[in-house]
Amino acid sequence: MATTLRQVSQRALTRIEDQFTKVFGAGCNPFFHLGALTIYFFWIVLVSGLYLFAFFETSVFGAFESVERLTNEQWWLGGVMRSLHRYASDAAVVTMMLHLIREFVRDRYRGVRWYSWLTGIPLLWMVFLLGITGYWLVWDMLAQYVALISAEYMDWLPIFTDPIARNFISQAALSDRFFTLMGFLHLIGLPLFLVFGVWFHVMRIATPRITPPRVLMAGSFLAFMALSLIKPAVSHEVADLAAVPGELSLDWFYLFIYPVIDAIGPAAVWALLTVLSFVLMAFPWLPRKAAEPVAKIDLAHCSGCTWCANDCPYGALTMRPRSDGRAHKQEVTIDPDLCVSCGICAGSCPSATPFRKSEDLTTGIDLPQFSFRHLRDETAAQLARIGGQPKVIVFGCDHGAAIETLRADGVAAISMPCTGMMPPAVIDYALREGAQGVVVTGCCEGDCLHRLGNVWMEQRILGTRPPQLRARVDRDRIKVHWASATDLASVRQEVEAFGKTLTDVTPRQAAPAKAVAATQAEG
Amino acid sequence: MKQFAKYLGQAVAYALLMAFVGYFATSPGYTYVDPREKSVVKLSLAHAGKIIGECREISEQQRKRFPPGARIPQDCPRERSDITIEFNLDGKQVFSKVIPPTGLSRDGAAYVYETFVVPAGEHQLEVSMRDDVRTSGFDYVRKETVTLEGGRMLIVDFMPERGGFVLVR
Ligand code: HEM
Repeated sequence: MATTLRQVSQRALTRIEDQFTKVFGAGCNPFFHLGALTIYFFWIVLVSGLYLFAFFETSVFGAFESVERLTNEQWWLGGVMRSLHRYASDAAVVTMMLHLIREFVRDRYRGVRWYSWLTGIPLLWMVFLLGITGYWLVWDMLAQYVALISAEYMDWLPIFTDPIARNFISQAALSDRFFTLMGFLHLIGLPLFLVFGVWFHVMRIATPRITPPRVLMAGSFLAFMALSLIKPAVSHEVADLAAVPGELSLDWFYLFIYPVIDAIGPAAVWALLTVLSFVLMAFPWLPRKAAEPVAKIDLAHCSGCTWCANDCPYGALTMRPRSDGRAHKQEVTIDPDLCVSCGICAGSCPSATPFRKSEDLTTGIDLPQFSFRHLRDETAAQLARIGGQPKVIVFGCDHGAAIETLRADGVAAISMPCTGMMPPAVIDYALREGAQGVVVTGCCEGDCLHRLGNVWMEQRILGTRPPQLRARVDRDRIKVHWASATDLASVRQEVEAFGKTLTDVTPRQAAPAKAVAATQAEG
Repeated sequence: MKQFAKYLGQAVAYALLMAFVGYFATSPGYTYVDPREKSVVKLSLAHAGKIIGECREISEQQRKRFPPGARIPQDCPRERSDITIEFNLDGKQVFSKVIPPTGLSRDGAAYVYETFVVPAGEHQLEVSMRDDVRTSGFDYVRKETVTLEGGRMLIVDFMPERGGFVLVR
């Protein structure tokens, strides 16, 4: 049940994302950069916030006026900054929520990835608190409403004897106390927490994507600018504690919870938010992901080259001084708590050469459930089995297009946990075992389920990342085409078109590595 | 896809983002208390009830056993009375509660904070309080007819220095 639900939502999400890929190109699809976009939006918030702060009076009696002055008298800069501050924060909520939904739908929150999920939850809270405290600082009628309901909400907890709400019902009782607290939280406390929070959040991820592509930065910034000019952010009337907040223009991204408190009362909202937070936190264990075997190291074949440690997208591999007395300086070790069983390390091991004669074909590091030996044997077996000319073999992954369905006369297909786990020498091997062409596919460009598999694979073929595909391998016989799970059609098309180009390909001497880039650009 | 179509698509995507963010940043509007028809009365007070029990004389003999700085002549109890509050609006009881003093030794003030949304217009208020568990009846009572403007707030507070209940607008 849950599995089908996930599959359905996964397909739906991928279909939407495919549309964005068409429009933005795979490399700049905003869905593939949601975390990074959230960070970028907060940069805009930070810079515009610093500007606002320079003109802001941090006292309950001066705040409103100072914001008004900035909005009206200096609309061309101060006003724009204020609007940017608001809209970038709102957009950050949108990208953050999409990021959460996406990681959930793509099942990237369980198993080893529990850490990123769990450290995401406090970020959620902090972001909302940051927005709420921001609205408080304007000290207009909306701020008064937020202050009053927040106080009534907090007062439900049995820890305050003197109801906080009593501070917000008469001008006489009002003091700078809460205002200073909110100022501190909004200007220093929560931003600092967020910075450290995000750092913690991505700590277990090797080379996390924290900067979105420039095009997206420019595009979204222009969009916020345009919105700021079309619909500048403005205040409500100045707060008046003798009046009751009436008709309010709520920012639903940050303040949606307030009408809920009005409707069902503080107790129910406390219960709701507490249960929701705990359930969200428990998600990675509801149910737990069946543990897959992690990568296996065989020191007898490890030369301590560091390639696998450099390639692991989750920093699960580290180098340490040699422990087995062999001449090499270092050896690799694995932290099973960080390994997501993607196999990318197996693809980077220089000992994984399919031409080795040794019987068992053990390599320095390998994925037990889909070993290098299995990959080689399957390649040879399928190529021997299929008839037809030219023979094309498609290598892909279990998370991209379902390439097994392409098997036909003249087409072999091998799907593995991640394309990044294929040592490039396997391409060479396949060509020597009778294939006229090799198609490499897997998750959509910029969107490898294991983050970096398709990036590394491409660089290995281009010869810019070890282990490199040998230069003498004819690049005209290789086609790289990444495609999402819903895009089998384009892979089929590529395979067919590629097959046609192969009939007149005769083996050549070393072709320049650049040729691959050229073939890809066409596709 | 043609380059132009791509740019157009991107423009549409950004326009959708702008529309979505721009709209929900302020809309739909939300009315907390309709200022044309309603006003709010808040019963909001802090009051320490009477101390329960009498002070006890400490004899010379007993006092000697204490350190010199702590030789007080009387030992007075700290516990305070609960306070009992009733609030009637237009002849109908809308609030009635016995509120214990705060503090571990029950020596702090008792607090009340209640909100009543009422139609704008004329209302009869009657608020009564007893702050001594040893007496019966109410020690403080205030009856008043008030006209409340829509969207305004009336606070019913208690200030013994001003003779009991006060209405603050
Ligand atoms: C301020 C809010 C947030 C920011 C700025 C943020 C940012 C990021 C970034 C930059 C990454 C690394 C992406 C990559 O390089 O592949 C990431 C990963 C992740 N985030 Fe967030 N995040 C935020 C909130 C959340 C929330 C609320 C959740 C869910 C509760 C969440 C769940 C995850 C998960 C599960 C991953 C790991 C994906 C993987 O293992 O491949 N994040 N986040």
